[in-house]
Amino acid sequence: MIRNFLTILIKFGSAFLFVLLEIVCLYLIVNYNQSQSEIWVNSSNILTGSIYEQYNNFTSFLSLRDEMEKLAEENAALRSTLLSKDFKARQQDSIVASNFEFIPALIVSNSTQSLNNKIILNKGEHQGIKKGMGVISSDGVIGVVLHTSENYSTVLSILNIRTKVSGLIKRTGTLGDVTWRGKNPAIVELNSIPQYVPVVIGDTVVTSGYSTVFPKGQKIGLIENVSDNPRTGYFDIDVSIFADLSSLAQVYVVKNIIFDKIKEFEKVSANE
Amino acid sequence: MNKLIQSNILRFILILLFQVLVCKGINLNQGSFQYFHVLFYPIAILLLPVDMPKPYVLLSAFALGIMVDVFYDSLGIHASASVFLAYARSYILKILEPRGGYSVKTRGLENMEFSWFISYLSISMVIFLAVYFSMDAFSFVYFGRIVLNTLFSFILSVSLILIYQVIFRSRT
Repeated sequence: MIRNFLTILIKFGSAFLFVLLEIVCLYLIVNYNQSQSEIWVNSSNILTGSIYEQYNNFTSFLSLRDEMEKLAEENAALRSTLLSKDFKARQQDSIVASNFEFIPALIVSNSTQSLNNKIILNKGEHQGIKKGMGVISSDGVIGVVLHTSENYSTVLSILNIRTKVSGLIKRTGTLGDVTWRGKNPAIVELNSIPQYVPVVIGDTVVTSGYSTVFPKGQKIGLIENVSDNPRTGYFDIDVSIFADLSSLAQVYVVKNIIFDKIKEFEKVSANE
Repeated sequence: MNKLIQSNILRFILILLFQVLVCKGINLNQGSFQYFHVLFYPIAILLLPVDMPKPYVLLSAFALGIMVDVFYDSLGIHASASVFLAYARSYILKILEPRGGYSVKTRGLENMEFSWFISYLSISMVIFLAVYFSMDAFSFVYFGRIVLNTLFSFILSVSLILIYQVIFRSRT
């Protein structure tokens, strides 16, 4: 037995060594080279992105009617905000008004079934999308950009156990973290709300605006269920999200114009 | 025999230094035309003695590739291509074996006929460059770029190696 093994080893030794060395090389390539490792992690961006887009060109036709209705609704909502007094006041607040730009994008691939849900958009670096930007739809927060390639980008959906969005309860102004536990694609969790806060079922949860990712006040969802957690001292709050991620098509990528300046400032203040 | 090993090691090191210090600095690319890369060092693998055991060839090619990678800041890419070339080398040598076998075993491959050397070099470099640029792009989506890179770098690298060969061929 051992002798057979040895003869095989002698006969094909160099082939084994060759395969072994190539595996070592591949390991090194994937671990120490940025572009290769991104392709390895994220081949969906390059190859499957274009395939999904072709497929979506066919299927998007089927949902045109729904899309049209959604856009019409959005138009109506925008019109009403334009007329409201609040808008004029906000317009004068130039700091808030001018910080964010929205890049419209279409979803070419989406998943809500796994723990690691990702969305692929048909815009990428060429259109100014960068890693870390927020993604919203007319119905609220969708996720955060994870990877970008030239013409596609992968978004870590809010329905991903790795995603964490800073949110607050609109009525009380209490700050918490929105995460997803990975069971129900319609429910996310609002964490670290202390138990003295008078939380009411039906309260709206919005983005806090304390991060550079999302503008303040983007809708996330409605509080559906509140329960005490004696172990942590915080509430366990279930939030049903406004956006139906399984039927999304049109989203907006949030570009924070002064993002670089904020980062620079953070770096300077950290050094002091 | 000892002298042969010494001269091979010395050549290995000199070729490596030439690659990372001189060839790395050569840049003939203009604007969006980025297809010229000078890869000279595979000659060190090609010129190893014919009767050197395969595992040693593979290991020395791996070492050479890793050294080049360290200088090019592309860990693994050059190494994978040169290991591939080292493995393919024995088959290329078998295909190109002259009638009566390699009679120049002790004196090394650089003293083979010039026409033989050109075909040996061409086949090897096509394989090497194709593997190298495939590893560099890492996805066959970029097939066109891999082919163009291989083509232009082939012209440049092979001419440089042939010049080297003309200069350093031991005169008999």
